[in-house]
Amino acid sequence: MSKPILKINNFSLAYQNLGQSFPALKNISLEIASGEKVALVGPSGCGKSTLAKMLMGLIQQQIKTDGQILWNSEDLTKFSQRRWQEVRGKEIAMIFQDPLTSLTPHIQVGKTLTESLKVHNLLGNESRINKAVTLLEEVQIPKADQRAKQYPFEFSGGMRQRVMIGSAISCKPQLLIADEPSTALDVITQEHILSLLREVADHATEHAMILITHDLAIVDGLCDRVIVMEQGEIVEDRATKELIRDPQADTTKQLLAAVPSLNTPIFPKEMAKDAPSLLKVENINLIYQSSSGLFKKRTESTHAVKDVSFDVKKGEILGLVGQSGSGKSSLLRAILQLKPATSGHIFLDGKDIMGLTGEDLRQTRQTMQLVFQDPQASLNERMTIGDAIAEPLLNFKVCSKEEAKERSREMLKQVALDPNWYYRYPHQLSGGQRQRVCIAKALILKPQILLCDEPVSALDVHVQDEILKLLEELRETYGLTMIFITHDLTVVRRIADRIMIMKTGEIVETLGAKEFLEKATHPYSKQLIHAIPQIEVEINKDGN
Amino acid sequence: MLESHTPFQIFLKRFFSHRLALIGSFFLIAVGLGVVLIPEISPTDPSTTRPWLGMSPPGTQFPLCLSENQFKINEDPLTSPALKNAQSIVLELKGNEEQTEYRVVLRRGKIRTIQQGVTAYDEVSFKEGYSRLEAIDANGKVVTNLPPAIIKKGDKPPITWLQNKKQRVLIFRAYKEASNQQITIEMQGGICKSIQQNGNAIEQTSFDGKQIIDIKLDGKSGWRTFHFGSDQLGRDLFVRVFYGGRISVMVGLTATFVSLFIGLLYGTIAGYLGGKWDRLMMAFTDILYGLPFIFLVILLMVCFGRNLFMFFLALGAVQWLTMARIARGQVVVLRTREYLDAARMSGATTWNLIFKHLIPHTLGPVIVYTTLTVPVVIMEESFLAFLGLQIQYNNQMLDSWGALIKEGIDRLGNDGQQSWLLLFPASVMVITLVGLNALGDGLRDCLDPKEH
Repeated sequence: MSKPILKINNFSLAYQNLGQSFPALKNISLEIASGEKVALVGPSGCGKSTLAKMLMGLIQQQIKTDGQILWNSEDLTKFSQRRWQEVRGKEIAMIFQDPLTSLTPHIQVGKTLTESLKVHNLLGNESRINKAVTLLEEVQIPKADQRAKQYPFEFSGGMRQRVMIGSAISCKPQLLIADEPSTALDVITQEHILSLLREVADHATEHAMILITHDLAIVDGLCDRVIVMEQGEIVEDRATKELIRDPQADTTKQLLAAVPSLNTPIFPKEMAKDAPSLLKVENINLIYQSSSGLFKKRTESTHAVKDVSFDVKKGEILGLVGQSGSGKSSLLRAILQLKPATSGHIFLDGKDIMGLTGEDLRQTRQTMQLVFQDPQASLNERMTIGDAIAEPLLNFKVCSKEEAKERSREMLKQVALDPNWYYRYPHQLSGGQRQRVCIAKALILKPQILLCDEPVSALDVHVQDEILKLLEELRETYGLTMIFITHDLTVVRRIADRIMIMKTGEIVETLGAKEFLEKATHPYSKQLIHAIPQIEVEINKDGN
Repeated sequence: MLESHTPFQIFLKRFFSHRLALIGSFFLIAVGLGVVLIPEISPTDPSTTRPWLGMSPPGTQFPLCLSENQFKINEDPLTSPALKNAQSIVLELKGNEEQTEYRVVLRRGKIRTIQQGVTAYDEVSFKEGYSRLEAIDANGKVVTNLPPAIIKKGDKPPITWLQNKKQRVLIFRAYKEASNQQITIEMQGGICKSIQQNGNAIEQTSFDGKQIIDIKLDGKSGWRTFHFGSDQLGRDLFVRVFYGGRISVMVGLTATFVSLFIGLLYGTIAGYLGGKWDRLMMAFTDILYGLPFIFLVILLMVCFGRNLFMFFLALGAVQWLTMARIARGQVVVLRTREYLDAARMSGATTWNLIFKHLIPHTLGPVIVYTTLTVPVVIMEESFLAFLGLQIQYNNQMLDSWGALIKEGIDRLGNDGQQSWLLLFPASVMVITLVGLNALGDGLRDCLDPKEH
C-alpha cells in the first residue's frame, strides 16, 4: 500500500461553550492512503461531521484539541488561515450535505464551479469558462454550455449536488470529503448521485475519498474500507465486505440491522374486508397560482395535484410514495385544507368537509391530525415540549389546564419519553425525540385519522427504525387509520397495508403492500424499486 | 448527559459577560435610581424659589426655608416642609431694619410741621441711633445717604436734604439698625407650639429667607448645598434635573410602549395576512413615513393643546412605523414555517397563532429596537421642548431635560459664566442616552441566534 496522505494520531477534540467542555472526538487514530476510498459511518452525533470539518479547518466554534492530524506529514491543527486557503479546494475538497444552501445564490453556476481554480490561480479566465463546461459535462449535466450561465435557483436539488461535486473535483484534490452527499435527496436522485460519485471515484484512482454517511447500504460498492464511529470514538475499522459479512461492534450490528431492505419479509396486518371507508377523496385538483407584475397581471400556475381520487378504510394504513415534487405533500395539505384544493370533494366519515372555513374547519382538526416531516421546523422552539403537547387540548377546550398537563405527561410516557421532560425545550432533544413529541402532539386529541408527511426521512436509519416501531405500537393501541407519505419504499412496505405510487400529481399505481414487489407494472414503480440501495451480502453468501 | 440551558439562561450568561451592556445598565440604573428616589434624596422640591440665591454656582449653601416664612402659635406655619417636619428650629436672623417715616411741610423755606403718622413733633433728632436716612420729594425722587441732622419746627431744614428750593413737602425715612435675633421654635405634629425671640416668648414671627444667618433643625444643620448650582429664580438645579428626568423618562417609556403596542400588532397582522392586505397595510405606513413628522407633531400639539396625553400619542404615532416594519419582516420569514401549520392543525385560532406562536418569535429584534427607541423619543421630546413646546399638565409647565437645556442655553451669559445651567442637565441626558444605546447594542448581541 502507498504512503498515507492523512495520518491522525490520538486526536481528541472538545467544544468549549459557556465555560463548559463538550467532548466530540476521543483519541481518534487512523490513516488514509492516497487512492483509498473510506466510509465514515455512525449514528448522528457520533462526531463524524466534526472530524470532517476539522480536516477542512471549518470549525468556527471555540475548541480544544489534543493530538495531531498529519496532512502529508504537516500538522494540520497548526495551520494558519493562509495555509488553509491554499489547502482548501486544492488539496482537500468537500461536498456538503445540503445542496440547496451550499451554492451562493447570486453567482452563476459556472463561476461557482471554477472558483477554486481561480483562487488557486490554476487557470486563466478564458480557459476557466471552457473548464466549467467540461466539468458540467463530467458530472453529467445536459446542455452544459447553457447551464454554466444559469443561477442555482434554476437547478433542481440533484443537479445542484452534481454542481457541488464538479466544483469539488475541479482542482483534482488529493482528498475528497463527501458529507452525507445524498441524504437530503430522494431515492431516485440519490441513486444518480451515488453512481456519479462511484464514477468519479473510479476515474480518479490516485485520489482518496472519505464518504460520511449514516447509511451502510450506500457504502457497499463505493468504498473499500469502513470506519464505524460511536460517541466520538472509532469502534470498528475494516474492509467493507468483511465488515458487512461479520460485524463485530454493537453499533455496526445496529446500523446493519437498521438498513431497510426489500428482502425482509413483511407481515401485513389482517384487515376486515368490509371495513367502512373513513376518508374518501374524489377528483382533487390543486393548482398553485403565482401572479407577478404591478399593472399587467401575469399568472403562472402549477398543477400540483391532478384529479386524484382514493379512499381509506377504517384501521388501514395507506402508503403514498413518490419522488420529491410529485405532489404528495400538496395532496396531504389539500386534504387537511392547510392549502385548500382548487376543486374536488373530501368526505370524512361520510361528511363533505371540502370548503369548510373558520370554526367548522377548526373543528374537523380534532379528527384529522398531521405529523410533519421535519420535527425541528414543526415545533415552536419557544414552547416547552409538554406545553406543546397539551396545546391542542386547551385550544379545543377539551379539559382544564391541570388535566391537560397530566394528559400531556401521560402522552410523553406513551411515546417512550420521560414525563419529567415536560419543561424541556425542543432544542434540548435529538431529532428522533422531537419526532416523538410531534407524534404525541398529534395523538393527544385521539384523532380518527393520522396523516404522516415523511415522518422518518429527516432521521437517521436506526432512529427511523425506532419511530416506525412506535407508530406500529400506537396503531395497535389506538386502532389508528393512517396515510403515510414517504419516498422510501422500504419504509412504506414495512408499515402500510396498501401502497399508492404518485408521479407528477397523478396516481400511477395502487397495490397491496404484500404483492407490491412482484406485481408492480408501471415503469415508474419499477424505477423506484430499483433505486433502493441494497447490501448485497445475501448474494455474496450464496456465492460463497 | 450534557448540562442543558434554556434560551433564557443562555441569554443571562451572555449578558453578564457583555461589558458594553453592563456599563450601559450601570448608567441606566444610576440615573433610574436618581429619578425614582429624588424626593427621598432631596427635601426640597423643584419649584421652590429662593430669589436671593438666584444664579448661584454649584456648591453654594442654602437654608431649607422659603423666601417668606410665618409662624403663629397653635397654627399651621407657612414655611417649607423641612421646617414643618422638624421638632425644634433654632434660627439666627439678621434683624429687620426698622423704618420710621416723617412728613415735613415747608413754607417759605422753613419747617411748618413734622408728623409721623398722626403724631406731630416739634423737634426730631436724627443725629444718633440711625443707620441711614432717605428723603423723597413730591415726584418720588429718592435721595439716600443724607448726613445726620436735627430738625426743628420753624428752622430751615439742612440744605443737603432738599432737592430744590421751591419744595413744599419732604418725606424722610429713617432706618434703625436692628440687632441679630435668636429665634427658637418648638413644633409638634406640624403645628407651632411655642416661639421664643431672644429668650422671650412671643405669639408670632415672620422672617425672610435672606435674613437667615444660621439655621438648625433638631440640632442638625439646616443648610444644604446646590450640587448643580441654582437657576435665576434660585431653584435647585440638582432637584430640577432629576425631576425633569422623570418627565423625560416617562415620555420616553410611554411613547415607546405606545409605539411597541401599535407597531407590533400592526406589523404582525400585516405579515400574517400577507398578499394584498400586507401590501395595503405597508403602503399606508410608507405614506406616513413620507410625512415630515416633527411638523405633524407640532401641528397636533398646536391644535389639541400640549397636554401629557397628546404628547404620548403624538410621539408614539411617529415611532410605531419602524416597529411595524421590523415586526412584519420577522413574521414574513416565520409565516412559511412549518410549526405554524402544526399549530393550525392543533386547532389554534388566528389570535392564538398571532399571540402565542408569532409574537414571541419576533421579540428578540423588537426588544432591541425598543431600547433604541427610548433615547430617540427622549431626544425628540427634548427637541420639541427646545423649540418651546414643553409639556403642560394642569396648566403647569413640566420641565423635562430638553426644557432645562434650553433654559441653560438662554441663561448661559455672554461669557458662559453660568455654564452649570447647561452642563448638568446635558450631561445627565447624555449619560442616559449612551446607557440606553449601549444596552440596546448589548441586547442585540445577546439575543442574536447566530452567536450560539
